[in-house]
Amino acid sequence: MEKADYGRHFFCLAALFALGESVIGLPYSDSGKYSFLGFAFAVAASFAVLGISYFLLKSKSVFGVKAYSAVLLSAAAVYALYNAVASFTEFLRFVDKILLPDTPRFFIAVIFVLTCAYLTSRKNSVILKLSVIFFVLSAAGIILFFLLSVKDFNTEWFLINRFPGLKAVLKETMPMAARVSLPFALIPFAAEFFINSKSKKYAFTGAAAGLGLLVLCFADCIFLFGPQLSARCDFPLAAAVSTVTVGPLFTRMDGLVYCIYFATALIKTAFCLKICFFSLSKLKICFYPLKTH
Amino acid sequence: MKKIISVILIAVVSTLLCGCGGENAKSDRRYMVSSLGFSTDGALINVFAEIIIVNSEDPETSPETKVFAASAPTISGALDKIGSSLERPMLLNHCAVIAIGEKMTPLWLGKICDYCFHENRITMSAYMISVEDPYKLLSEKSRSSAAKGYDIMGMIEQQSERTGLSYNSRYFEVEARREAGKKIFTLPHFICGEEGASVDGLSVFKDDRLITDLSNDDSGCYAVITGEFEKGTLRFGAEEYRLQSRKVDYLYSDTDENKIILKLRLSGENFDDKACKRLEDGLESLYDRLKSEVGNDAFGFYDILSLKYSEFEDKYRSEYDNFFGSADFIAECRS
Repeated sequence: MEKADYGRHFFCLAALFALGESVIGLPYSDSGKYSFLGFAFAVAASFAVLGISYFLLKSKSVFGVKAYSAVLLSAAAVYALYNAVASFTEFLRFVDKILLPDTPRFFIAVIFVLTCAYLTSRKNSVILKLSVIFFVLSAAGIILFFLLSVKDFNTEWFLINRFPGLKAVLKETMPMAARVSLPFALIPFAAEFFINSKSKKYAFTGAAAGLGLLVLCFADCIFLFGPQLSARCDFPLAAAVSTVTVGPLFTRMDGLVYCIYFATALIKTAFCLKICFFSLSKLKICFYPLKTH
Repeated sequence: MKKIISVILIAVVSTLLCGCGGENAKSDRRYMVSSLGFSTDGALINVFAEIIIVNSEDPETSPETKVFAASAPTISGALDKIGSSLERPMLLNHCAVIAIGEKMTPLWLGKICDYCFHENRITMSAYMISVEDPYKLLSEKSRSSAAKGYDIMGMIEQQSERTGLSYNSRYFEVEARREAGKKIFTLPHFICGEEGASVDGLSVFKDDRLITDLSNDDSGCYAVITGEFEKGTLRFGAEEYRLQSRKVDYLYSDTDENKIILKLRLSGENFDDKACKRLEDGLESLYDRLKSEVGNDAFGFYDILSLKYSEFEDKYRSEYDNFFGSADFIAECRS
């Protein structure tokens, strides 16, 4: 019963997971002129992935086949671990290039790993409650930054004189779908673990909120830099935020965006590690069921 | 208790990681670069750095600016030379202006843009300007701020507000156009007179080469033709109109004869049919003059028409110069 009370917390957690490292990395360096079309398809694909993942998870209980469950849980554990490592290494790359280029990576890695380890080892309620704080700050920061940069937007970057063709759009969509949409497959596993709720409401609305914020970040970069220059930037949102002047001269918002990224990277890494441990423990139960006396 | 500790831990770590503390902590031990200038004599690049010198030992001494210059076969080499004559490292994060010499070659301009992109410390919102002699401009005494670079930034913003010209010359705006394959971009053109530096219209660059400098009055008409005029004052000799752009549309014709047609809808006080005709004549005259002076398209019509008409892009991708060479320009203005 207690777990069900965390539905709204899970909404925030799912939204932060959706933001992940994409918040600062979109559009990726392999994107091209039509990255906004690719992104639009990737956003749509995210919901499809979420739906399919729920279906696969539901099938587990319907079929009741041990092998099927084992494959599903193993895949979830491996993919969650892969996502945790990817999120962690991307954060280190960001620190190395942008945030603290003069500081050895080792120290940052230690701080990040310790914080993640702490979050992962604590009760689920810790990460869920922290997500609420981080989500509110992230949403406020992203919306504020979007509003402040509107005056510099150049709508020309979104104009196209014809549909580029399915092949070109697919070329843009595939890498985005792999990095933005596919991780959504983990959300149903997390929902089962964190809130144990049959309701898909919080997972879907949380994902939608995260994607909505991601759209704002993506639009910021494209409207300011155009698709080509955005793709050339290592961390487009970090570059975009450096163009916004809040007050006279250089009172800038860089720190805010760096904080948002730290929060989303931390939550995503801890979230993925939790799913990995959860899947492995379920896998163990699958083969060695607990004996009741 | 655990919850509180966890939140505090995260907040502390966030604070440690998420400021630009790495740079700021050292900034009082660095020399701040307020503007960079570049000129070339072919093989070598001349780099000028306006540096704000603060004596941290004596807070009573007011900061002063000095321009350091060095030449080298690479930009980083020239900056290293400047750095070797300083007692402290340079802090590039607050560079407000990138001044480009008028004799800059396309090759060096490309290298400057690449350098500014890869050098993370140079902010992408620095203004790019064009000037005959960057050293002379940056060496002028600043009047309203700590350094000439910040004065220049203020002049551009103030001039833009007054004339209605959006200069679109911040580094990221210029680089976005170059990266998207647009051939034309403009920079504010500065001159150094006896009264000090002033904005003297626009410098038009094509394929990274300066092709012409326009006066302030011509710059207004140029902006109307390229669709970048939003609201401001247009002058034709003694006549002056305060106008607002309502609608801009471009058409082309290549059936009987080649034509580029600009349809404008402007509004403003006293802007009647006579003034419309005056504006049309002014725009067509600027088109003819630039066409004969420059010899090719200085307005970026190819980019504008290609974006609107896919068949134009297909037809004239490789033969645009032939089309433009024989194309008349017609401005149709409505109030």
